[in-house]
Amino acid sequence: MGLCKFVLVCLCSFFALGYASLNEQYNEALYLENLSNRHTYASFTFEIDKKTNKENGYAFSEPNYQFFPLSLARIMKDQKVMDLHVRATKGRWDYGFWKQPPDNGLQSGGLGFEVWASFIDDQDLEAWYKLTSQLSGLFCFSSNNIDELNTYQPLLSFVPSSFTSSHSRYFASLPQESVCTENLSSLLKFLPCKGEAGIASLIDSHLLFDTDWYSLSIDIAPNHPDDLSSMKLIVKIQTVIDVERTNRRKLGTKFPPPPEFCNDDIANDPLRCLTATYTSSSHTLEDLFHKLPETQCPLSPSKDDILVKNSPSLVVSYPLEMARDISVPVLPEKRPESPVFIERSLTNSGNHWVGIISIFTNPSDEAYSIVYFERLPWYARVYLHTMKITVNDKPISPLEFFQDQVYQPLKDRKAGTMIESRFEIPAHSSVVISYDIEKTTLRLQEYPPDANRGYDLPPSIVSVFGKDDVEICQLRTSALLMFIPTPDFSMPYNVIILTSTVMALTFGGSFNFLTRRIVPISELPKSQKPSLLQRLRSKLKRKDRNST
Amino acid sequence: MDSKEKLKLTFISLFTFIIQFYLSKSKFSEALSKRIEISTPVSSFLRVQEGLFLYRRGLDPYSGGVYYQSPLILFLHFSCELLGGVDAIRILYSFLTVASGWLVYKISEKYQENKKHRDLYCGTSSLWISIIYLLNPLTFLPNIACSSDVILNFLTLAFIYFSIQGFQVGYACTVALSLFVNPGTISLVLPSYYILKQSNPKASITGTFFVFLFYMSCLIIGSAILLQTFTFLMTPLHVYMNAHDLTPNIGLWWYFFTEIFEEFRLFFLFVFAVAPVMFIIPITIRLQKLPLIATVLMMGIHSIFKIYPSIADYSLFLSLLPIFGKAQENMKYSLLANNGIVFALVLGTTFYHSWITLGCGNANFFYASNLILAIGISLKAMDFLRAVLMIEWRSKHPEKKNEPLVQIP
Repeated sequence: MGLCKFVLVCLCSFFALGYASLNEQYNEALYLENLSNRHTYASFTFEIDKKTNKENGYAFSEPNYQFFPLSLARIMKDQKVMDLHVRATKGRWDYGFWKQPPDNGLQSGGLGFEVWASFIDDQDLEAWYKLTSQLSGLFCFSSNNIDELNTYQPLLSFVPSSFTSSHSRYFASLPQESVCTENLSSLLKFLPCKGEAGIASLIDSHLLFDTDWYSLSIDIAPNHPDDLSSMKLIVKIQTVIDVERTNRRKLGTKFPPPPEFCNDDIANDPLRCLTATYTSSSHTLEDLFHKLPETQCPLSPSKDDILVKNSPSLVVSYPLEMARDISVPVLPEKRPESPVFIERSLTNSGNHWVGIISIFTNPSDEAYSIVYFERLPWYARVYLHTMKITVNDKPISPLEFFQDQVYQPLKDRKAGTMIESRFEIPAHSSVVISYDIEKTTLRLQEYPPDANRGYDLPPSIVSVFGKDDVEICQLRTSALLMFIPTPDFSMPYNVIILTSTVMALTFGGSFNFLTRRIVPISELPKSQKPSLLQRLRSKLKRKDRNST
Repeated sequence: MDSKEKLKLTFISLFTFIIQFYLSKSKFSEALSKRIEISTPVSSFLRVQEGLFLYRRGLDPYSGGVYYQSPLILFLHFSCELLGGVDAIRILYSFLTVASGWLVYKISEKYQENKKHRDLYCGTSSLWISIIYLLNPLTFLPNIACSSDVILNFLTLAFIYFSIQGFQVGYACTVALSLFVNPGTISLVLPSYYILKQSNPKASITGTFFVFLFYMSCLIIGSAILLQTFTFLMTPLHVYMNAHDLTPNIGLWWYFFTEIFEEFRLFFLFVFAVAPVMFIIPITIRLQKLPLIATVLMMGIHSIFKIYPSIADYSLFLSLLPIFGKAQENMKYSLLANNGIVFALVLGTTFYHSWITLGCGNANFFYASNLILAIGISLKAMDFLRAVLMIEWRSKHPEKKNEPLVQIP
């Protein structure tokens, strides 16, 4: 009897496992590519597919999950979310030296935290706020700070080909957010193998957060447009490792000088010159991550999880067991360039008026269509009529230049500015867009505790489209730091006192003159006649008393 | 005499018109239109341009958070640009300043026609008063910067002119126009109505009120038709009531409402809104027989408590004061008040530059100069009131000419 029960339970669980595993699939992969002889790009990708067998069903209406994190699925179901994208980035991607990012910028964000989502029906802002506060609970981002001041509804950016207007879409960003260990560990907690086995075991938070650029991203989207029965979750952790700097740690407390300071005498001395121990022709996994991976994650079906770019056209995959022997070569050929370069900066002319200037450069032979999504907080008042555009130093009017423009003007303390513009940048040209901004002082309580640090203006998002409106890549500009003049924070009582004094002086003076009656001094009642001392004094000052 | 004066005034006004128009076309004008002493959130030329930009693109100009002025100014600029481009606006502004100078001349001339008033109060010829107004830097700098205060000053002088001429319909029309541009002008309506009553005893309050209502409704309905929405009623009033735009200026409101605690915001908004209004009735009652003096006094007091003052408001008060030359001679604190005003304006510019551009000063220095300016203007107004009351008493008791006077409760 007991044995029968045991066999039955095993069979049931086997079938359940089998049944469940038919609807969910897990894949992970580590991709390594050398961007230059000093920087290596590493991206850890974890994919979970979830399907439901019901026709026209919603994948997250199912109650059972094996790989897909239950809390995420619950959030998607409760708020009726169609697709959700989260990005958390720190650092700046150097388009000059590192060229085009391997994922074309489509899965990395700008500085800070970005989140955007589409809902199945026309949902209002309440569903959006619930979604972002639940995300803040799951991943320890402060997305509970997202309110009407940082939420926007872009119409031209982030448009999948299946987008219909009955879905409401919201975007919010927090450029001041810093990405740290608590975000990473919450993210790894949602993976089937957590950080214990597979490629995730290579991630060391000390090394990851010391790199030049890193980005955590979560994308949950349907596999086919408008078909909610099959959804995919992609968690991607990307980083650009400065190998030379990372290797300085391995030598413990000895920090040999960087290669620039090595001359021929000490060039081969490993104690005094790093180049003696540091080879720049290829890197091993030990160089990059200071450890080797643990055993393979048993839930991942494929064996070859590590992908290495051996040449511009060849990617070789290795199983985890061969981790010791993998070497990532430094490729002599140049990597593909980014199609468009963009720089954005503040032009400062005092602390009351500033300007924002964006320079787009297209060095290639093709013309591209660009959607430029820029957003500013309400206290940076945009004067859109001051927008000046020059193409190759020839001025052109904004009406002729922009094919489409979406402008949401600011409302004091209620909404920020959003400018989305679509234009075409011709081949071999540079476009400069500039406009003026007036800064405004805030109320005392609205300043943050570190008011003199300044305010981050969120990075703008540039989507580049090629022929047939296919999105080629997405670029982010740098975030800008804008200083706002501060009042004296220690003065509320003094200001009230002094201003009330001035008002009282005016009131008191006019009250006196309006309500008193005029009499000559000789007709004053006896009690108010001046005393002997006062009469003496007035005799000495007789000359002044002849006038009134 | 009259025609010679008129010739001189024509020459001077032509000269100022040409100089102002030439200067307003230069880079000096752009620099001035960004200065906070001259352009405030409710009079800035750049904000009007932004509102026009939104209107031309088919959006509601009040939906973009920088434009809070009245539709009259928007459509004035719009029609000027249609007729002649940006230069047409500059011509209009220079013309309005010159016309204001002429209105000052006419007001002073009409006031001096009353022999009794002339002997008691007036000391300067009307030509000089008008020249002082035209050449006063506080008047022509806002004109060069194309600030909307020029239009407001012109309308204020226009309704004082119509009231002193006794022209009822013109008075009601210009009062409606100036209230439409700036609701704060309500402080000047009651004293100037008394001027109207004095110069035209047949003027009735109901008649004037109905004419005013007619013009006001024409303005509101016309703006609603052209803008196709009614937001223009709430948005300008909202900024006057709520002071949500706290850009620094030379007034007292901005720093006060930056620094107060949130719990007292509503209370202090009420206090600051009532402050200019509570002076109207006492001053009008006390100076019933001298309504022009009451109007000029109210101008001074109103400009201290205004929410977004600029130097154009102070220019009107300081330039109309010389009409009452004899009263000015009797003012005790002229040196203190005048020095205070000059120092506050000059030092205020320096302190603002030090706070904002150099970043090494503090907002307190700049606000202190604003306080000194307010004290200077209020001292001038109080002293003027006292001098007028003394002259009035002496005129009633001519036998007690040389006795010193004092005031008792």
